[in-house]
Amino acid sequence: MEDSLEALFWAILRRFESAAIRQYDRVAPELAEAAKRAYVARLQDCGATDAVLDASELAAPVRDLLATAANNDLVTTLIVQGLFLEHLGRAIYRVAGEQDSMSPESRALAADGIVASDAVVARCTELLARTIPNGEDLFHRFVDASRDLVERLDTLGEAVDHVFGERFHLHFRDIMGDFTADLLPACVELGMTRRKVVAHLTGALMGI
Amino acid sequence: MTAAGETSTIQTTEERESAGKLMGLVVFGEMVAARTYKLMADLRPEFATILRKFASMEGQHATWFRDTSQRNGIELDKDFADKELGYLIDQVDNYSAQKDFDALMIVQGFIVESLAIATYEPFLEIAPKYEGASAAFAQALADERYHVDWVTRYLRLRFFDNHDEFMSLTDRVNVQGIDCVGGTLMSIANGLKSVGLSAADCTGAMMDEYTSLLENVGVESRRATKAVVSLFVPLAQKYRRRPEAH
Repeated sequence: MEDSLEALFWAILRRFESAAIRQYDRVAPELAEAAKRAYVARLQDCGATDAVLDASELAAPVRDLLATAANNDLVTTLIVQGLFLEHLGRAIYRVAGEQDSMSPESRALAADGIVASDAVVARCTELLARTIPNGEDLFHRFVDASRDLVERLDTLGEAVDHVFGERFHLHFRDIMGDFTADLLPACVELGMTRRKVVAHLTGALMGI
Repeated sequence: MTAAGETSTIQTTEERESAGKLMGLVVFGEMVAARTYKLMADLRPEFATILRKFASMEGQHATWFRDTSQRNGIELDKDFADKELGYLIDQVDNYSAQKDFDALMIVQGFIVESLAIATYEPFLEIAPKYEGASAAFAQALADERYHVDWVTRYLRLRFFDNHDEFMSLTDRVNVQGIDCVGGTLMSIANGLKSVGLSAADCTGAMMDEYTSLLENVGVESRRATKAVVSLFVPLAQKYRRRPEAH
């Protein structure tokens, strides 16, 4: 990958996707879908390196967000990794894929990232519905599991704006807009109330 | 307008000051709404009768809320209200000068009404604490929903089968409108908490209410959510990073 900023972008996604597959292997093997594993392998060879990420201002917020996501509980993993972070990743791929400032290779890789996530999201929805069939109960678990995540995400978002905003027009507000538009129907499908989910995400972003 | 069993039970100075800010914003906000509907009536004679009726209803709300405040010893914080409403008045005056009726519809009929509904509805739960508040807020809430219903019908017909033009309009109006009205919601967040309301719930309700209104006009759900959330995110971030939060 010749462009250093694109290399940094993919180094971040590579780290997130690698952490996801490790978490699935360890706690929720049913989500370790072959397409996701193949995509992670592809990201290992895309030219992005850990060194690029570690040298950037994004290293600390990425590390903090991943540390918050790591856990040993199946339901928490389904909510945090399978629902929240998968939808977030899809939003990032979608927003990045719409930017003409990204290379055609990156836009194609982003489109494939969404496809690789399809089966994981579908399987996760199925597992969550079976494990916690009551939408209100699931909402409470969702709130508990995602509050810290949103706070960490906010910190990462600030750095994303700073690093990628001007060059790639990749802004946290757009990613959150796309992410919420994707997440809300998924939560409603699982029996949660749309307005409550919006209020939770807003409150977490506001820090209240 | 008093419901049985209501008495004023304001306990602390903080609650009284917060109530003064909130009720100040409500009373003067209703007066601004009345003025906006009158300006809209001036622009479109064919809708003047209904829009003047809306203006009269908003004026009536202001009177009810002023009375309620007086009966509960709440001193309206006019300076706070003026500061918060100034930006909205500028936007309304600008659209009025440009004879931009549809933009006024979005600002008043959707964005401002969404804020009113998102705060009046949860307020009904705590309204019995304030003498005369339950009936006033319940009727005002029903009236605001009536206004929104008419505005929705107008916009559905106006932009029937032309949702792209409608989204262009909302994109144009939202940037200032949500920054202004949503910003006001952030300004009263602490006050809402002081009187027993959740700022997160009110903000979430406003976002969801406004998104639903866009959907009701025919905008695809995903597009409506993206548009609203992407404008609220910077406001929420700004609130989180305000100096007094740390």
